[in-house]
Amino acid sequence: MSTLVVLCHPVPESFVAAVAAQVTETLDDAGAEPQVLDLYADGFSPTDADAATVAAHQEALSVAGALVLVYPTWWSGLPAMLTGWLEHVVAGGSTPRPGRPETTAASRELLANLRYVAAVTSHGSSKWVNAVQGEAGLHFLRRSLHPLCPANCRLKWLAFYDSDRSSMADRQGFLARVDRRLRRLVQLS
Amino acid sequence: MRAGFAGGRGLRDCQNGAVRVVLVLADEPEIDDGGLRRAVEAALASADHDVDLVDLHEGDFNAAMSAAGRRAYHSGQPLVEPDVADYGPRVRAAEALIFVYRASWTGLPPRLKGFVDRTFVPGVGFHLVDGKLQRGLVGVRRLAVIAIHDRTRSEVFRNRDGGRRILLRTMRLIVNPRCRRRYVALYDTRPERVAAARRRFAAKLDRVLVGL
Repeated sequence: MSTLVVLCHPVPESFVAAVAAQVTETLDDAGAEPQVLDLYADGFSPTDADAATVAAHQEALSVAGALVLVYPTWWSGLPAMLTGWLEHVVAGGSTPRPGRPETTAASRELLANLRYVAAVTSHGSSKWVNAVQGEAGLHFLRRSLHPLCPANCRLKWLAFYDSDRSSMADRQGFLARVDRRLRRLVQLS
Repeated sequence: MRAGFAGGRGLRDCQNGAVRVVLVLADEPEIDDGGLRRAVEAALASADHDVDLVDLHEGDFNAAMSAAGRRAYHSGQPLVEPDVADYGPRVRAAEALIFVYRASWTGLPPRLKGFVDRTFVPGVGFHLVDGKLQRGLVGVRRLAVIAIHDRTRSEVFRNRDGGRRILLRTMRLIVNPRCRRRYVALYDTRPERVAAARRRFAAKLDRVLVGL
């Protein structure tokens, strides 16, 4: 089954874009058939997404066997673009509420084939600063998105902290880590 | 003059407890026929606060950080795009920041997250000195967040309330260290549940905004 890779970064020469290239290469090599959705290149609008685009993205998500989100963490959370994508595509414009199945049925159906969700993200500040800030992005994935996925779906958090003070070696080390972890994830699931 | 300003925690440079407020509206204006924003504005006006209104539903505000904005992020000359250019000086002049939004899932809606991503950048909200964060908005001594949640309080708590974490905890690192922070939320907006909760919410809204 294919893997949907959602890339959310405005600048093509950024580190996050390089990470996405690594993710695609690794998944391709591991036989996981990556399909890349580049939200900025596609001109997705987080506030006024048009129905045709949303339907196409929902179609891509419903046939995918895994979801990999590649994005920068800004202000301890997901960027506005990705927030909007999740709201329009995954939630279908409404708020899914646990305990009220009628509000989550559509989202569960979209995510029904997922065997893992992986977040590959960079943080400007250190892990310590992010802990103080409350890691809103991590908690969103862990507590809001992951519970809508099937019971045996894994959640993998691959984060690069302190990128504002990182060296080239740190960044290359992260790319190697992404490669190792994703291969293992593909094998396991 | 309210008692809350005695004891040295108040703003030394403002008269009669009036505060220069930047009010950021990211609620959905059609909900409740704009009743929420009218209540917020009335409470602020009754206390003579000086309000600078940022309505994210007006004009051509684009929530997504653009390539040009991101390239200028670390350049020392941020806010290059016209739709955010004047937000920098406005938030730097503020003594209080007030955010009003309706939660998407349990966190910030894209519009408000976009405002935060694009406005509080290095040189405006904070400074990066050798990669270390330094406060940029030491003039801001009041933060108030007014949130409408479709979910119940316990659901929002279990989901770790991303909006509160970003606007109060993360924002705390860049405003005045003695900043007073307030969170006013209405939970569970199903019609049969809201009558009493809405009264309590309205009362707290008034109390917090009048006595900023």
